[in-house]
Amino acid sequence: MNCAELRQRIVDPSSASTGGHAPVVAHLQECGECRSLARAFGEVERLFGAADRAFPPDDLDERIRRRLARAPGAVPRLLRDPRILGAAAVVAIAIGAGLLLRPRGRETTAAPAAPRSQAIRDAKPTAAEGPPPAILAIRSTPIAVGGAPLSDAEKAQALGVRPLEFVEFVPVLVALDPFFPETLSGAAPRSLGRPDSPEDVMTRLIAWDDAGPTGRERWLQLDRAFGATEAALRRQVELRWGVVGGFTPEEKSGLRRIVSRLVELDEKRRARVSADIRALARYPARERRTRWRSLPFARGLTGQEIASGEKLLLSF
Amino acid sequence: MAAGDSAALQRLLSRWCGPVFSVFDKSREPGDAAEATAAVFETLFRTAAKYDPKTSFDDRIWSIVVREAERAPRSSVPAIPSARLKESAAARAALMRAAVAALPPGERSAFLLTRVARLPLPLAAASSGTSEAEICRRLVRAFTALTETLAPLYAPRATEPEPPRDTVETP
Repeated sequence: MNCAELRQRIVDPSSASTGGHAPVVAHLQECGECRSLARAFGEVERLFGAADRAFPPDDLDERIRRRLARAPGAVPRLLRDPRILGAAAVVAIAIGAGLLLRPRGRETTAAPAAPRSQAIRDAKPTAAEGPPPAILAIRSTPIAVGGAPLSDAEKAQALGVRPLEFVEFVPVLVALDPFFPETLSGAAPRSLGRPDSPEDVMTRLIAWDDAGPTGRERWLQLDRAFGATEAALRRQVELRWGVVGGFTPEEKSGLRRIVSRLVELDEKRRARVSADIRALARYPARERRTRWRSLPFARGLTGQEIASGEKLLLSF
Repeated sequence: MAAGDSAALQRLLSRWCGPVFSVFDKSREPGDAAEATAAVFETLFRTAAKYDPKTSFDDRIWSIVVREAERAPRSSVPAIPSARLKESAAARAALMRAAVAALPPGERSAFLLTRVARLPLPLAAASSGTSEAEICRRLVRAFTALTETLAPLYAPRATEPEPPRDTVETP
């Protein structure tokens, strides 16, 4: 038995039951290096053997169930109906608008969201109106991405809506209110404007085509719902996207999960947590980081959620 | 489970949540370990329709655990003062986690499967999609690296130990 064979033998967990120790003993008596290594391997083994048994968090089952419920294969058929999705988006944005426009510092009163559905119903959709002639002139040649060529009207519709990623993220931006300063100023991010470069136009048309009829209907509904909200709210949400739009997909996913954690809290606790998070704005960046991590709410978050929240808090 | 049987899902979670979590808990912080555990079940759920009941379920779930365990990039081992290690169990646990996380992916998963999940070598090899001999080679490399990074925890003797007499201590 040589050194390599001996080492492979002693790391095999079943070697104790397979017998045949004589060659091992003989080699160890001759080789000081392997002797020393075998002892060190044994120490490492003991360290892990003696380590406390890990118990999963109490809510892990529930978190897994929620995750499974969100898995693509588990989406209830009802929720794939574009009309239901559109209605849900309108409700989400209406509730979000109520939350965002609610005066700060009065969370504990838990005022119900103001009903805006009438205003939203009455408002005419604006985002898809008016074809963008300059862009269509650039793309006047037929564009067929994996199917029939898009007509001019379809191109106009595709280029007139806001980016899908943005309109899907609007409820998250609204719910993350405690993480943002009370008002943001500046110009709306360029990414929310009409695509202006040939590459952006092509990217948008491909995304539109990829979305399929159901996805396109949903996209339009979300865009219309956002376009129908109050201008002041729209502007704040757009400016928030200017901060978050550049986050990585993992960081955006972390923010989504923070929102789902906030939503799970009862009203009173959510108000307290929101107040705690808002209070962080008073501290300098370095201290804000430490204080964020030590909040009771943050202690229950995953590493990715903590990092995403931290990045957002340190963006101002 | 694929058909949405919630009782089946409950049985699955009761049986496997603990063992899967404990594997990740030895190389990640508890929050990340919980997240990785959830990711394993999500993959299991998403691919349930493709599962052939004639094949071993142990093999199936552990192969997903292997992929998840190997996905994390190698991290570095922090320098923790020996005084801190002496007085704090949390610091010792952090060093052990970091030492495992610093292993190359294949060695990390081999170590976790055989030493934390305590899988027999053939099952660990099947779940990793490799041979038993290769698992042994990975384990040797893993143990060799761990003896160095974890040396402050077991305080190796300064002098060469006596050769064994009638028994051999194998890990």
